[in-house]
This record gives sequence, C-alpha cells and structure tokens, in this order.
Amino acid sequence: MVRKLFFQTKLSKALLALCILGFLAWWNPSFVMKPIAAVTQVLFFPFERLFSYVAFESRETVQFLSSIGELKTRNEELLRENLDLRAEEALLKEVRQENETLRRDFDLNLRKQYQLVAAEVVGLGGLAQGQSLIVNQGSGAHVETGMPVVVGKGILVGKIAEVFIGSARVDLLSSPESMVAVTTPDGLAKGIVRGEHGLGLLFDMVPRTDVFKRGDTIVTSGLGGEFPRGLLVGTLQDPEYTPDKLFQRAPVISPVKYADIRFVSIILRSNP
Amino acid sequence: MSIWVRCLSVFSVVVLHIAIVPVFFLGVSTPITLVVVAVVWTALLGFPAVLFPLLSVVVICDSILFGAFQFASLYFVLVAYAVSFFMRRTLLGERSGLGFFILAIFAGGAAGGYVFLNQLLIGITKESYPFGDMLLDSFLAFTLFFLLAPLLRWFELVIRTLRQEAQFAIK
Repeated sequence: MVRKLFFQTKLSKALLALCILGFLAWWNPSFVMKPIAAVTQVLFFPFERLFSYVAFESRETVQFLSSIGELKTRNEELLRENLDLRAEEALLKEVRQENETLRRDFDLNLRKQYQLVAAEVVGLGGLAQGQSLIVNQGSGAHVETGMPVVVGKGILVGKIAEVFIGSARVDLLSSPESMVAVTTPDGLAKGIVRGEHGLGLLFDMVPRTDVFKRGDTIVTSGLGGEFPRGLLVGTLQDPEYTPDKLFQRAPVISPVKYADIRFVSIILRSNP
Repeated sequence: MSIWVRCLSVFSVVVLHIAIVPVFFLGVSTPITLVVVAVVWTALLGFPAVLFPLLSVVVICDSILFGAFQFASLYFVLVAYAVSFFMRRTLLGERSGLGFFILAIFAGGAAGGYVFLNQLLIGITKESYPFGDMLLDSFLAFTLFFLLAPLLRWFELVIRTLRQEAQFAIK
C-alpha cells in the first residue's frame, strides 16, 4: 500500500485553506473585498430584487392566510389603539403649534423636515440575520455612506455602510459596530445604544445620576452629528448597573422587527 | 461550458442566501444556506473539489453583506472537511437513502454548531446562551437540506453530463 505524504492528504489541504482564510479575515484587505462586493452586487442586484420580491410576497400571502382566524381580535385591538392615538394626536397637534409659536418668539429655527428616499429591502444578512440589509437605492439616488435609515416617519433602524451603483448595504443598530448617542425625550437620561452582535440593542454608558425606568422611550440625541435629533430608537426594559457599578444600562426593544423590514427610508444629508 | 453551469450554481446559492432564505426563515441566527450548501457540495464533489465553489460563495456573500471576510466563515471549511472525513469512513455516499437522511441530520448539527462557534467568538454568558436558537437553526437547516440537495444535485448532473464523466464516481 502506498502511503500518502502529509501534504498530499485532505487534512493538509483543509489546514492550508483555513490558514489562508484566517489570514484574510485577520488582514481584512478592503481593497480586495470592496471591488468584489461592487462587481458582484451589480451582477446580482436584478436577481436579488426579483427573488426578494417573490419571497416577500409569498411570505406575506402565507402570513395572511395563516392569520385570518386572528383578524377579528386584532381588528378590535387596533380600533381601540386607534381611538387612543387619535386623542393623543389631537393633544400633540396643540403642543406642536404652541412649540412652533414659542420657537418663533425666541428666534429659534423651526425643526427641519427630512428629505427621504424610499427603498425596498432586497437582501438580508448577518450572524443573526439582524445585522445588515441590502436596499435597492444606491449612488444613483445620491445615497452616501453614513446616512441614517429609518422606518416609517422616524424609527431609526441603521445607517448606510456601503454604497453600490443601484443598491446599498445598511448596517442595522443591532450590528456589533453600531453605536448611537441617545436620550430619553425629557432629557433626564443620556447614553449610547449599541448592538449586541445581532442579539438586540443595549442602552449603555448611562451615568448613575440619570433617571429612567422600564417603558421609557429613547430617541437620538443628535450628539456627534451622525444622526438627526429625535429619531425613535426603542423602548427601555429593566435598568441595571454595569458590573463596575459606574454606569446604568438597559436592554432596548425596537418597535420594528428587523427581520420583518421590507421598506425603509434613507435620510439624505444634502437637504435635511 | 460546464464552468458556466458551475458559475450559475454559485450564483443561485448567493441569491438564495441573500434574498430568499432569510425572508422565509425568519429569526434564524445562522447562515443556514451556506452550512447546507457546504454539506451537499462536499457529498457531491468531495473535499478538495468543494473548496473553490464553496469559498467563492463565502467570499461573495461576506463581501456583499459585511464588506469584510468573517472569521466565522472558516467554519464552512471545517464542515466540508468533517463531511468528507465521515463519508469516507462510513461510506455514507454509497447508501443513497440512509446517507441522504444522515447528511440532512449532519447539516442540522452543523447549523447548531455554528451558533455555538459564534457564541465562542463573541463570548458566552449564562443568560444569553442560545439553546433555543441552536435547536431552531438545526431544524431549519435539516428542512432546507431537502430543498437544496435536489437543486444542487441537478446542477452537478448537468456538469457531469457536459464533461461526460461517470455518474457514480467515488469521492
């Protein structure tokens, strides 16, 4: 029997492949990965768009068919919620008018409206499928790296991480690199919201003297200038002290499920 | 000609991984498409031959989704080697029905293993250890195996026919 030398075995090939890939992951050559991403994304984009459309439509049809039984109960709940929200809206309208009048009286600039670009999700990815989205607006729609991405009128979900010709990659707030300066709307607690490796969001680095409780909402504070002030991030859960007892922190529940997002809006920087 | 069919199979896997599977398999915490593809391709092609298509898919997906190659992607090479190792010693590939089922279980186990590896990389804490995720991902990978295996097998049959290779080559 002819015995194979070590470098002829599958194990040696596996080790070699692992070493090369490990080196690539450690080195992280963006000058190699960026062109690969740009070229392949241009090639794949029409197919991603078509197949994601089919997949989303199919999923929504299945969800609709399976939820018919719950529709009556859900409808009643929504009617009740709608009445409450109408009452709240009437109150807020009055407060808004009062706020605008006061801002004029004190010569403060009125809050600017955002210029939004609507985009559709064509791909999802990440360690927990909650870290990045591919959307169908790119450099052609003046999208740039760092622009905030919101759902609805102002629920912050992430920011643009990389722009391709007809598409862009959005890093979600749950991604490990994500960090946003936030505050409670009354300004009593300030801190940062960071991603927990796709597992959720954490309101962190809150000084011990700041006051907040479970159920409080947090919005972007505008510090650092990366995100405009007042974008909703989520609702706080039970607060706790960090192990070193220097700060407080609390898990954050986002009002949107990241895996469910289909349409987003990108806030353009050029004309905020 | 067969190189174009190979490109098409790589292309299909990338589109499945990015645009289709995550939409249907909500809440999944593992790239189950890539785990299943690593198992199926290794069963069909054998270990050294699987490296090129598998790594192409992994590099393309990582570059599009993260903009960088991920350490966790080394896991797919380990999975491919493990499948090849066990197939060679148990002759799983020769027992088509049972082998197919065992490979599906292997894919499920490998998906659970990815969650474990991911937790090792980011640090395990007692509160966050995701047993639920492991079970869910394993089950979804097991299910996905039965959908992806026939598709990838069809691609390989086309390639072998174009190359005029024997249909039952031993890996």
